[in-house]
Amino acid sequence: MRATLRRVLDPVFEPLIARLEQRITVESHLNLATDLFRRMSKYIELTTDSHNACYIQALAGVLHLSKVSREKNQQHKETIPVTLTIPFTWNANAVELDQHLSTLYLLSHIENPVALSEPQHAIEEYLSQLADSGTWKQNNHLAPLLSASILFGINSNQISPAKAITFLRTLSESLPARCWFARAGVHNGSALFLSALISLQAKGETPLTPYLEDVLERLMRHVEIKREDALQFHTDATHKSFLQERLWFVLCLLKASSLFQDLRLLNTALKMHDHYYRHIAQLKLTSGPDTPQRCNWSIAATYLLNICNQEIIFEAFFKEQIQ
Amino acid sequence: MNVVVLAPINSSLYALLVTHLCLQEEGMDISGIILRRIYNLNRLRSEFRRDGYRLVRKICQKLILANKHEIPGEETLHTHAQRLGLETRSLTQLAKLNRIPLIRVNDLNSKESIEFLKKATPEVVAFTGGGIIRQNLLDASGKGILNVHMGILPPYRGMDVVEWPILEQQYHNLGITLHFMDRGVDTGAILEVKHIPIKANDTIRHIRTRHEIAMCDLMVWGIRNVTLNNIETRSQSHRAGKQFFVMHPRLVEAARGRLQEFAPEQTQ
Repeated sequence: MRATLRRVLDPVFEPLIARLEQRITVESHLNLATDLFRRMSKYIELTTDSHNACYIQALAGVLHLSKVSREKNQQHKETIPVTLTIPFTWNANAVELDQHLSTLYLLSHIENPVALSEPQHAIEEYLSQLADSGTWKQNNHLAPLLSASILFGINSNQISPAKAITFLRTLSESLPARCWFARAGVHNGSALFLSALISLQAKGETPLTPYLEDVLERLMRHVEIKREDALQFHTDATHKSFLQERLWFVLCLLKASSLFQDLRLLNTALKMHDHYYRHIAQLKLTSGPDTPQRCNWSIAATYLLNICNQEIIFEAFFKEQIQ
Repeated sequence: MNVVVLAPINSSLYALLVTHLCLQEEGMDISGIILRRIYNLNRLRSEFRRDGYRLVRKICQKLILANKHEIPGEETLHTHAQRLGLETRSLTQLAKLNRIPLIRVNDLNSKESIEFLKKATPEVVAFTGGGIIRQNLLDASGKGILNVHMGILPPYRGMDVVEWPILEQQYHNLGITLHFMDRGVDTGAILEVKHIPIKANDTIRHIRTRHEIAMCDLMVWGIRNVTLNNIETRSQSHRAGKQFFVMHPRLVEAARGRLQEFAPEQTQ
């Protein structure tokens, strides 16, 4: 009886389960990335005849965002600091792209452009604001701004590594432990903070390495256990900004996986992309400087950048199989 | 030697074999079996969260196909059980035949389990699956709860630790570990590590099957030596190993690819 059942069910169950298990494949992600790029290309002039198409795709999103940001600023007759004009280069590297993303974050959140021209001054100002005005609960916006400013400062070499370490340490010690990379969730801005830690590590600065390793381990465990429910934010930010920051977390895991040569981090990143696939596939992309549109473009750009990084890192790990 | 077995499901071949082998051992007495109920919404929910669609495959293989997958030319857990003369198909049947007290619980850490253990007063408890163990259960388990982990400890803790060493090309780190359970994930004191070498043309299924067979023998060996105080434990430092999680299908494919390219001299 069982033998007959086995003969009948084996050929049915195996492909069915395999299909369910791998319902989102790498091809699904690449198709989605291509589709997003195609939709973005409607609004920007770009060619794709480069060997490094992935970076171009990511840059496409970033470039469009920078244009939109500039248009918005011009509409409001604001002076654009030199650092805001994001150059489009065919040979952009990961640090430059990081820089673009932190710039865009700051652009969309700050009223005072001092964070971009003098990040150290801005960080000191934010920290003193915090010291003067009480709790993090009352100053929810400061954590992401501080983190983005530190990341921007590190990548643009406007802050020395020693100063960056001091700032990151002050920030990590002052934030309430239960909501900054905690079991229950994360604080808005913590992905940028993690990104800053990774940028420092990539520059060979190691004083915060044990802390970074600990955060990565906790983050990985949290995502693996909570799956789709992971990374709940302790703020009343919108769903869209959650998705943006969650994608930054994936970017952090991908970069850390390459930096520490740890395949477990790549494993978690692959799963996170699968979790967010459905949300990204539903993104509406049209042109316009309004906030929801800019948010969607920003999510799409981060996703393209992530997929690009994922494929480059995967290829580096499994060179022999890909050849 | 007084032993209680903790089992994940009634038809668990691993739990059946461990119990059967213990009954064959001279002077070894199974004073109880605690069986986790399978039709339990909380259990299904938590396992689905952990395993995703792999759970459907597991249920299909364990309940419908009764784990009888055959590998031509290789011994499987099923053929191993046949060779050892195990005729019963379920733990309830085996308990009835040998007059072993058995209880079914929704959760191994439940009050009923603790009460049962207090009455059975085992020298040692053998864990053959069934979820996370809490401190109250550990406290009621005599010398402790023994587990055979399908991986080398401390470096490979957690899930899919047959696939992970292959993916990382750490072929020498394939094997099983007998250890006492504690509140962490595979962090308890180590009693014995057994390396299982891979052969040319092995598949992941071949390797897993070989591990499963060795796990039964190691568990019984461990029970005997722990009760006789013939064995030394080695505590693990938390920093000595990493915790691994369920592997993404894309990485499983990559591990399969690496295994295909494996040459036996790579383990040396």
